[in-house]
Amino acid sequence: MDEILRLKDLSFRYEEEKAWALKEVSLSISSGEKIAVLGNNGAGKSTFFRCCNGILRPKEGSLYLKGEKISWKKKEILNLRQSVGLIFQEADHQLIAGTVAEEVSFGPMNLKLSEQEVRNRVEKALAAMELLKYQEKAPHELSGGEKKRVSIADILAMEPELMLLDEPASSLDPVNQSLLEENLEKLHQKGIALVVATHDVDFAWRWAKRILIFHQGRLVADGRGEEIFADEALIEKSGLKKPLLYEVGKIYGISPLPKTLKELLPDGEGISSGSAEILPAPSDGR
Amino acid sequence: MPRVLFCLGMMVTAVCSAHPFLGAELSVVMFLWARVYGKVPVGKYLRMFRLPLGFLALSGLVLLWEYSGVREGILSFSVGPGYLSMTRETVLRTILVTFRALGAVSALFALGMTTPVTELTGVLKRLHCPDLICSLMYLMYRYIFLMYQVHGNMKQAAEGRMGYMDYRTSLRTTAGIYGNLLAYSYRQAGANFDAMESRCFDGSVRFLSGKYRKDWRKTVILVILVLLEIGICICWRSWPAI
Repeated sequence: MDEILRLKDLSFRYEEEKAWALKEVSLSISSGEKIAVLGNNGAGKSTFFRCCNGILRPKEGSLYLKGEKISWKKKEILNLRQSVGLIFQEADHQLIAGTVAEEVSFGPMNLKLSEQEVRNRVEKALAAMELLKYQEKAPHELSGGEKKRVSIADILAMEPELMLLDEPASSLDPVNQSLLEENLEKLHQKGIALVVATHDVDFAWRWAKRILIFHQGRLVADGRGEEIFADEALIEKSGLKKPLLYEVGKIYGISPLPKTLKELLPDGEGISSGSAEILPAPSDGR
Repeated sequence: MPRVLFCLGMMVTAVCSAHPFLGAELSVVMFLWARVYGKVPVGKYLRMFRLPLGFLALSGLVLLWEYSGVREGILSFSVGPGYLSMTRETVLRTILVTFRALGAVSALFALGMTTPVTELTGVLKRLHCPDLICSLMYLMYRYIFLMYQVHGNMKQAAEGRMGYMDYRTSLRTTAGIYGNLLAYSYRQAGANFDAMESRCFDGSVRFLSGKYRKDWRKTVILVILVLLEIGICICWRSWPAI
């Protein structure tokens, strides 16, 4: 896997604050990765995303894009923002145009592409997010889930290699959350690396191959879900909970630990409608 | 572009008209155009006209009077060393200016109600208006609605907590809302700007313009209308000399 982005001892502090919002963060993100970012409110997840996209310039440390150090010249920042797309938590913060098609064209137009190339990219992005029928609609008339898809299409049209999604499922109903997961899978299949900030530990457990945990501006954990959630002290310190299926798998001694209900009950074994016993008694007598 | 030039042509015709009937006639034409072509509901059009009509009425009241050293005219009041007088000339002037302004405002409203702002800025760019001005225009337009939305949310939240239950409470609530409105809108605008920067925004707001099918019939109708109005403007007897 090719490295896309690397942070080395990156630190950031807001002008009006004394405390560091991010402190000595070092990590590397490669192509095709599926990473979940966990952490309680104020842990530094959004600041981390903004630093990765170049909106915030770190006070200390370095950022590398495909092995090249970012020296914060205008051209390098533009390259960074093209390669690393950021989808904001509130879709309304991102939507500025009069129609969906105009909105999705904003990014490619800023790349100074030809009109035909912009049109092609806009159509491709709208088709990928199933938004072609909404292209002449005003973004503010759309539902929450549709707006979220527009904000993803917005970035997709710039053809990034890495997409950062800041709590994309917040304020989405369950149906739209499922649709979002399907869309994330489509993006992954295109080879785009995905980093998703979320409070939903069950989603992180189910979807991510790698989990990052932030706490008080520091990256306190970086690894597979099985290792992360096995560390009780870490989970408690970070103000997190263990995923439900992880706990069920641990209680019943299931290996490998199930990530989905289907993995837990592959044949529907033990399920009896109306019966109180769904699973056999746990192996430790509980 | 044809639509913008048509409305501009009508505005210039209204401002240059020599008879109030022309201004009134232009208002009706622009209303019909907004209604038929732009499908603007009548109620919405009239509601939007309340503010400019009120302004025209106030301005008209001011134009009716002139100050001089002699008592003259239809009505006259002694003010200080001179007289504030309403004369036949000031009445005729007020009527002409009011209807000119009405015609021009109608043309502007018709343009605003039937043309998305992205199209307007696109036309201005094609007319070599500086990019900075077009981008600022678009952003100001966008942020007006942002502040309007924030204000609406705050007002609703206040209403839900009986913030307008009596006059005194209403005043306090209004002061609180406006005090917070700027700070909150500034933060929202900051978030909007971050989102634009994250997509390589370089100071120039650019969108892909829509694919338009050139409707030559409409363009011809617009040209005929403009020429007709200009013709009427030239041929019509001028309003009594002021």
